[in-house]
Amino acid sequence: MRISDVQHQPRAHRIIWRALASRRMPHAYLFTGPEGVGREMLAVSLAQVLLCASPVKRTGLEGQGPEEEISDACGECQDCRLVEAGTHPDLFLIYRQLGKQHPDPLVRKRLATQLGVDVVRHFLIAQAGHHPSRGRAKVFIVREAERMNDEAQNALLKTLEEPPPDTFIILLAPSLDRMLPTTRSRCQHVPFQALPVEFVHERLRALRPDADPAAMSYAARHSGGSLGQALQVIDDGIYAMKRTWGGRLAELAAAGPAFAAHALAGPFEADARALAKLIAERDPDISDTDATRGGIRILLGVLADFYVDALRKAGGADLPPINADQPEVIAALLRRNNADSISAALRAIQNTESNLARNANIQLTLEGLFIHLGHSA
Amino acid sequence: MQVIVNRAALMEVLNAASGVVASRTTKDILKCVRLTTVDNGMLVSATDLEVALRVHVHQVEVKKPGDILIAADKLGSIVRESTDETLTLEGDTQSCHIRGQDSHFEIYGQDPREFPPVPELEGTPDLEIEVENLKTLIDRTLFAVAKENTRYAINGVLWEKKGKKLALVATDGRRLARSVGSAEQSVGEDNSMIVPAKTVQVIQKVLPNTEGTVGIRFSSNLVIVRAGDYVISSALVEGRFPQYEEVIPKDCDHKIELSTEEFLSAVRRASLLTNEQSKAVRLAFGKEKLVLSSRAPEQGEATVSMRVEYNEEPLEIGFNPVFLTDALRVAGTPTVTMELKEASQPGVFRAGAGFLYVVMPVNLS
Repeated sequence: MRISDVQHQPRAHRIIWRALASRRMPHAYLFTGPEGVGREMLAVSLAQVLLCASPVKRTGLEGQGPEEEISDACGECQDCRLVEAGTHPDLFLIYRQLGKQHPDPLVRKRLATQLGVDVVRHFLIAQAGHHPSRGRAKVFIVREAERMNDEAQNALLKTLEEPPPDTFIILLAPSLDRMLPTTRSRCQHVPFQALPVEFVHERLRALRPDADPAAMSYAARHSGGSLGQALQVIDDGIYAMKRTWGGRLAELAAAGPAFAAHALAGPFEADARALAKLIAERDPDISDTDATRGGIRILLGVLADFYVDALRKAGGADLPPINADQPEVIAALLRRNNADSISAALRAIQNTESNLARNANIQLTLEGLFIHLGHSA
Repeated sequence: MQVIVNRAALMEVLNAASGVVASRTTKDILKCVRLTTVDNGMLVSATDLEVALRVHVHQVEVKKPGDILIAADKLGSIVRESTDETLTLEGDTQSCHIRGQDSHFEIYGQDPREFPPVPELEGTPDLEIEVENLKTLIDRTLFAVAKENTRYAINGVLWEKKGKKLALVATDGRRLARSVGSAEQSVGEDNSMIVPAKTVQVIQKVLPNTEGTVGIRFSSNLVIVRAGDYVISSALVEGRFPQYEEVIPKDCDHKIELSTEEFLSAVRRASLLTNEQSKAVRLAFGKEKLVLSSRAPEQGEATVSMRVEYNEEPLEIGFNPVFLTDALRVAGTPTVTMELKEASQPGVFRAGAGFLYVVMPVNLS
C-alpha cells in the first residue's frame, strides 16, 4: 500500500507529504475524520514508509499532491511485505478487543467496550519501551482512540509527549473534541474529509459487484462520503428497510394527525434491534446498549434523509435528492409541510438520538417522535 | 519439502518453541512454527514479535529441501501423541503432511514469506560463558525486575560486560539484585544492554536443554544468545538503566553473618502474620540475638528468634518479607552477610563475591 493509494484526502496528504519531505516527522499524529474514509489506510502506508528497508525517491502525486521529493516505501522489500501481511514486528495495531489477549485473566474476561488502561499499558506503553526489532522505527496505530477512557489517555500522555527515539504513534478518532485537551495538544492534527459520492459509488461497484444497483447508488448518497458506512448499507440490507420506512412516512404524511403514529414505534424498534444484532455480530464486545443505540441511529439517519430531501426541495436547493428512488415520499411530505415544519421534524429526529443517549425510555421516546412527525405531517 | 525426523528430538524442540509462539494473538501466522531445511538438518523458528527462537535439529534426513509454516500447537500435539520413532514431514506453502507408520495428518500451512525473520548469531559472539554460570546469574536477578513500569529501562535485566566478567542487574525501584560471573571468552570493548524480562525467561527455560558454553551478541538494538542448537533473540529495552552503583551503600556499620536456611525459615514463619496493610517484618538485633516479629491487625502477632553474632548497639529495622525470601531462595550459599546502617537506610545482602542484593526498608512506625 502506498501513500498515494489513499484518494481524495488532499489536505491529509499535504500534511504527511510535507513532513516526509522535510524529514522532520512529528512523533504523534491524530488522524480525525469519519469512519471509512481512509484514515487507517493512510496510517498503515505511512508506517510502511517509516519501516521500509529500501525506500524509493518520489515526487508529488499525479497532479494532485505537493511537489517536494520524498522517500516512499518500495513495496517489495521484506519489511514492506511484512507490513502488508500484518506481521511486521515493529508495527503495532492497538484496538479495544486486544484486551482478550491480555495476560491478566481478569482483563480478558472484561467486555472490551472501551480502550482501557490495561490494553494501553501492556500493548502500547510497554512495547514502546523496546528498541525496534528491525532497527528502523516502531509505529503504533490506535484505532478508535476516542474510546480510550480518561485513565488510558492520561497513562499515555508521557509516551505521547516524549516517546523513545524512532517511535511514532498515530491515533485515529472521529473528531478532535472526543479527545482530552492534553492528548490533543501532544499530537499533530491531520483532518480527513468525507469522500466524494461518486468515488464511494465507484468503490462500491468494485467491492460489491453483485449488489443491487439501486441500493448501491442510495448507499453512496446516504453514506455522507464514508465508504465504510456505504458498505454497511449494502451488507446489512438497510436499503430494503429504507424503502419500507419511506412508504410508511408517505402514509403518515397522507393521513395526517388521524394516523395512529405511535404504532410505528414498535416496528421501528424491531428493525433497529435487527440492525443491532448485526452490529453485535461484527463486534462481539460491544455492549447491548451501544448496539441498540447504533441500530436506532442508523434508522433515524434513514428517516432524517427523507426530511433533508424535502427541506432541500422546499428551499429550492439544486442538489440531487438522497432518496432519488422514492420521489413520491418527498412529494407526500411536502404536500402538508413547509420548510419550518420540516426543520422542526429534523430537529425532533436529532433530539430523539440525544435523548436516547441520556438513557430515555426507548419506546416512549420513539412514540413521541412518531406522534410529532404525524402532527407536523 | 520432505524430511524424515526423529520424533523425540522434534518433540524437545517444539516444547521449547511453544514457550515462544504467541498463544494469545489475533494473527494466525504468529501461532505457527517455520520449518526450513538447511545443509545439515532443519531449522525450527518461532516468534511472538517480542522474542524469537530458532533451533537447529540435527536428527533429520532431508529428502527434498523446502520451507513451510504450520500451526505450532497442532504440530506439537501430533508429535507428542505419536508413537513412531521417526515421522515424515512433507509439504509446501499450502499444507503439510505428517506421516507415521499407521497415521497420516494434513495441516494447512501459511506463507513462510510473511513470517517475521528470526535472526541468527553470525560470526564470533562478543562473550562466551558456561551454561551453568549464566543460569545462576539469571536465577539470582530475574525475580527483581519491575513489571510494566513507565520507566521502561527497569522492565528489563541489565547485562554488563566488563572484561571477562558478565554482570546481570535488575531492580524494581525498591530493591536491586546484581550477580556477577566469569566468562570463558570475551571479545571487543566493554558493553551493556537491557534485555526484556520475557526474553530472559525464555533463555532461562532453554538453558537446561543445553551444555557447554553460551555465546552472547551485544548490539545496539538486539540481543542474540546462542546456547547449543538454540538461538534466542529479541529487541532490547529502550533507555538508560539507573546508575545503580550509587544506591549500593558503602558505609554500613553493622555486618551480620546469617545462616541462609535458618534466616529464610525465620522470615517465612514471621511473615505468616502480616497482611496487605502491615506488610513488614520487624528485625530487632540485640546481644547475640535476632528477633523477627510481625503483626496483622485483628488477626494476631508472630515472634521468631534466632542466634546471631551481634555485639553492637541494638538495632531495629523493617523489611517486606517477600523481598527477603525472594533473594534468600536464590542466594545459593550456606551463609549470607547482611549489612545495615540504620532503620531508614537500605539493607545489603551478599552471598559470596558474586551476589549482591540491596533492599529498601519499610517504615515501622
